Amino acid sequence: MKTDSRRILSALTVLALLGLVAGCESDAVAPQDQLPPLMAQDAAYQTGLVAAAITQIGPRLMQSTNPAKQVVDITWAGEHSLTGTVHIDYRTGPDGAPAASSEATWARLYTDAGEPVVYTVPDLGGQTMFDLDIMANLDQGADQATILSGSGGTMASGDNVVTFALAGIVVGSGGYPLDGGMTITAGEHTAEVMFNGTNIVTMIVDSSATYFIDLDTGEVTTGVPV
Amino acid sequence: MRSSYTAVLAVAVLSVLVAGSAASADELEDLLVQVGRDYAVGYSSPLIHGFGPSQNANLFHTAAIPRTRFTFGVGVKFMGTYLAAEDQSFRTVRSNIDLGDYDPSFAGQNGTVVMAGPTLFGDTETDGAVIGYANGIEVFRESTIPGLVDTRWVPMVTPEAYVGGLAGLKLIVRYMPSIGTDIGDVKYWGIGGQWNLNAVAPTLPVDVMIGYMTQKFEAGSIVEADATSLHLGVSKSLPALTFYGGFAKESSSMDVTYVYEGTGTDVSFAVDGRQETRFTLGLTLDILMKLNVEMGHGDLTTYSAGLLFGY
Repeated sequence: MKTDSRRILSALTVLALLGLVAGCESDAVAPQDQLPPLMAQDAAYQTGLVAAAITQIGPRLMQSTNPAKQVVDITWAGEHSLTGTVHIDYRTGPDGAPAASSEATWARLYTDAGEPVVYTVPDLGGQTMFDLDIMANLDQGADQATILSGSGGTMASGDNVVTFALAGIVVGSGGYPLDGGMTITAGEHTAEVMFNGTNIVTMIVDSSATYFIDLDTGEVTTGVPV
Repeated sequence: MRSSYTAVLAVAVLSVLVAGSAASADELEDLLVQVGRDYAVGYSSPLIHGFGPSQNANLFHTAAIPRTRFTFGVGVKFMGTYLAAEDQSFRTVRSNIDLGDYDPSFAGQNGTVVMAGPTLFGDTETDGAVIGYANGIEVFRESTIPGLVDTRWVPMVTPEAYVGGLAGLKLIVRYMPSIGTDIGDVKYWGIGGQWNLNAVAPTLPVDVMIGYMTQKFEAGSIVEADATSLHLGVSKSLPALTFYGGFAKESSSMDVTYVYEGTGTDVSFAVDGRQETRFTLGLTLDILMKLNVEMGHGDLTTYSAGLLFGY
């Protein structure tokens, strides 16, 4: 009887120990590497692409093909390296009633969720996906739109996503953005772009390094392009 | 009669498992030939690191070895290393390299390459990918291969025999007959010895044993896996029941060789298994036959069971 009790006690002890071992998970052995952080040069390169894309997309606020329509869809099929559709909702103000695009004083340009505008990178051939949400006051008389604070979006390429904020950018129905700025966050880096009405604009990365962007190509250089 | 029936059943199960292993090795080569070296290392890493611990599992079921009485046994051992859930997928990143190494159209362009997807023990319905980045922009993406089998277990089965009983010594042999497959012969063997220390310390309250085992598995010309274990075992026997535990220093390595279809070049790599030590805890039931269950834990956790006939 005493031997049986010892045997049962021993078995229970071993089972308890087995239970402890059973609770031990294996360590992961497959590699789970992270993408390396973006370098300042990468942030500058991507900022160039965002600036070039905004230069193409922004003026569409003032280019309605049907002045009577209150909501306009704009689709690119490869023109200016863009593919996809944006919608522009014209109104009399942020909380105003829908208005014809030729009479509206406020507009919101946006992409549908999950349906980004694709910008194909010249030279490299890679693709970037733009999600946009841009609000602007419209001055029909001056044929200009001023992009409001709170506007912006993301540019994704693979697992890399940069965010951009637009404020005070003035665009006409053609040409280059006349004024205003854009701030881009790419990983740990911040880049600021100031538009000036020409195709060459200045970019400052991390408040220290100065670059120049050719808005026609998105090309970024450290010296003023000729 | 009952023991004979059980033995036949065990051999039948073993045959199915061995045939399955051979077929899987064949399918593994069909997948690996579609990817380059770096991808193959990540893809097969759970097998590389998990197979050795399975090989080195269940090397003893008691530390007791007679000093002057012949002992003999034959049976089959089943082992499985239980992988972490993360090991069903992998992600290998190579930075600051020539993208042309992965896509000739980008020769001379510096960038980052990400190889990611299911491991061979991952999702069999989803393909992996090789993705190239230049300046943080994705510039190419090539689909690769799916998992081979969707499981967290790295299984193994082997016949085993032992003989001993002189001066506390025991010889252990593991062996599977060669099986012909499309990729060549699949074969496996292992040999080891154990010595019961009670021969020199008879007053110890428990049985104590030290042992060494070396094993080799080959699947044609594609995979060669070696494993060694130097182990210390302790056991306490009661009627019909033995409790045992142990500690082992072990090593394993796997060599993989194949021809990459993309370039027609030979790919070969050898990787050492991560696990170098393990603690073992087990229980052996001895009624007509010896049935043992065991858990081992080091970097990875291994479960095993054995069925032995003998005395």
